[in-house]
Amino acid sequence: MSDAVDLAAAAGGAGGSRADLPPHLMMVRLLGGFRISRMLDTLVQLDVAEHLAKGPLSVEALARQTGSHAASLGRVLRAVAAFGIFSQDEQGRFALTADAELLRKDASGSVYSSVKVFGQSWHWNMWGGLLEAVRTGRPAFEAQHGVDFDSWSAGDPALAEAIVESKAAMFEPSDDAILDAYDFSAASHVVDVCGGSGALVARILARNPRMRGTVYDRAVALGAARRLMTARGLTERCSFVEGEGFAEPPRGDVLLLRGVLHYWGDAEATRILRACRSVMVEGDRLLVCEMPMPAGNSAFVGKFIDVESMLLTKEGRERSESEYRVLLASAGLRVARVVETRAPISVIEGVIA
Amino acid sequence: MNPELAAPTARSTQARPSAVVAAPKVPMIQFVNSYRLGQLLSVAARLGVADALASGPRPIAELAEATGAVASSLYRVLRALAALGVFEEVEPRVFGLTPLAATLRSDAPVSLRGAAAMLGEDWHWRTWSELGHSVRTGAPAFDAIFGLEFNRAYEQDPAIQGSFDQASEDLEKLAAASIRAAYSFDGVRLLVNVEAAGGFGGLLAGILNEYPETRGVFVDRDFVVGRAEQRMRGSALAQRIRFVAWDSPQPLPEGGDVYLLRNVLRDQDDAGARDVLTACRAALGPGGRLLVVEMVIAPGNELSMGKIIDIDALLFTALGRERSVAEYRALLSASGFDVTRVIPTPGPLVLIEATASETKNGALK
Repeated sequence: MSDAVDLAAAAGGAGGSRADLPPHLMMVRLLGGFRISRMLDTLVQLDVAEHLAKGPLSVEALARQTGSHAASLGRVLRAVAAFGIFSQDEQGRFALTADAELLRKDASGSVYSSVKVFGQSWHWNMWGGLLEAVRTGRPAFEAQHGVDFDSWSAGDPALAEAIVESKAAMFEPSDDAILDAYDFSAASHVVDVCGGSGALVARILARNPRMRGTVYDRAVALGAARRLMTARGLTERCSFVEGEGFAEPPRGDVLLLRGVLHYWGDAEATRILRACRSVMVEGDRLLVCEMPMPAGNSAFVGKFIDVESMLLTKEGRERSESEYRVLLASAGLRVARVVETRAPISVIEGVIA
Repeated sequence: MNPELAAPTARSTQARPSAVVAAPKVPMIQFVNSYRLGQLLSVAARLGVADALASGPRPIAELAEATGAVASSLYRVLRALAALGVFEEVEPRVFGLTPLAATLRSDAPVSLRGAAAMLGEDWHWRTWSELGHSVRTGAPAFDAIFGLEFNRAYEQDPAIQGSFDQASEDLEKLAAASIRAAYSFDGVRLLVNVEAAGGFGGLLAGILNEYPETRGVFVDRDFVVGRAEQRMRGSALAQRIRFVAWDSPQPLPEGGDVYLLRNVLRDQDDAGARDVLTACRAALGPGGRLLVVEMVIAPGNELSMGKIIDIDALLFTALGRERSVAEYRALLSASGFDVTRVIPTPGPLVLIEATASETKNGALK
């Protein structure tokens, strides 16, 4: 059990040593963890890390600059500093630490944009609806808002953009892992089907100077992708096509479906795969990048994302490798191989059956 | 939106910016995501999953039936908890308890079912969602959301009362275990236990059970004392306990050998805390001791649970706050007490023992 307990202690934000604690004291720590989440959200709302970028500040100065109440801000900072997020010096000034740096927007490995999305009250409240969801089987989001998330968020471009941004930041480490584990060099044209910001394509193109890329997605994602390709000097090799997942994407000899299928039930996922299949010719590859669920009790992160899917979507879920095989088969595709990466994500390579 | 957004995919060690201290042990993304664990535990507690598994592992369909849940949804919740060592999938779609999960049983020696349940209750979860309000204004988020003070809401709203009481009774048992292991009440004839809506006398009863020569006085707000008395009516112990309704700064019952003050000072600002302590000092019998039981704020950047629970005080009370041992010493000293011992416990609580100071009676009325 000790691995699980370690992870539990970490997930609970418990810190300190672990397995030597009796279970009830371990549980006390686990129950405290959610508070750290919320404190980080508040500190990101106030952009505290950015204000400390130039050096340590007294809590009074920090409160003035962030429009907050000094004593209260100090209490929150003191609490997270106990976990190494910010630190207080002898004079009482607060400073950044390595972890606090990650609350800055532009830090490498930043969690800023994730917190910006997951800290929003619709998301916090959605998790607050978990009990109801387990009792009724109905997604919490829909129960709380009367409409599904896609319809609800369609009218909110700021939210859509925040989501695209957070996705890009979230995916960065696993994008790296995919590139290190999977050899793209034989491809001539990579098409990213509804993958969001185009960050993965940008990386593939940067590593393979003769390759062309296409980002196929909704308008809001294309805007972010265009900005990214411009920033990386890749616009000449990349095209942008607007559309949605159930329609035929543009053809490339490699199609990417990264983190798309787990959002959908089997029927919709099959439609998406068929749309991809219909543009493929012999020798083309479809790369489904997902987190296949292992059996047993392992501490696999997909298990938590699966609960998020349950709250947010009607039928979205994480699937096992064999479930992905069945899904691909139902769309006329065969799994040629599954390439694991150092991240929890795998590349499931589909070819025409 | 893509649910993977919520994923701690950032498990690989990223290049850290310069000017770093030691490499952090826990990836930030796990701190960011720890609200998920909180809700998962709370849902398991509210459904009574651990109770339903008390006599052994059960298939998910049966478990869902017993707890009033949808099997496929409950499965996903328990699979996630099992990934952290809370519950275990012993064979496909059959779940059993683990030592961690057993702490969520209602009849566990130190049960945390009530504490876990409360965490995810709407009133509690919503108040935490408005932490930004408290940090911007310094005022309790609870009052801003619900339009009244927590103490009033507790008395008026059965949903708040029920979940808060259950959590309090859990934490009372936890405190009782810590206090009884760390402190001897040998020779104490009269033990006065002053509480602040933290249970219904379970701590006092536990001590009296162990020390048959000791009598007790249970002191709390009127609203709590009445119910405590009712609950204990008819039990053998009721003969040895007097119930006294009290609110600071009223005088306390006199003549106790030990005044055990738990979670009382944390609800008060310094002036209010001094009032309480002054009342204790005035009531204390000759040779009497004061035992303050609180979580404390550790010095510097050290970890202590008090630093976290202090934020609950910020959200739910106008004046309450956790203090450091040094701050408690200063308060005690200003109220006519000398600290004789500071006793840590394996849990989050610290016991601060004090006696009336001989030289300094200046603070006495």
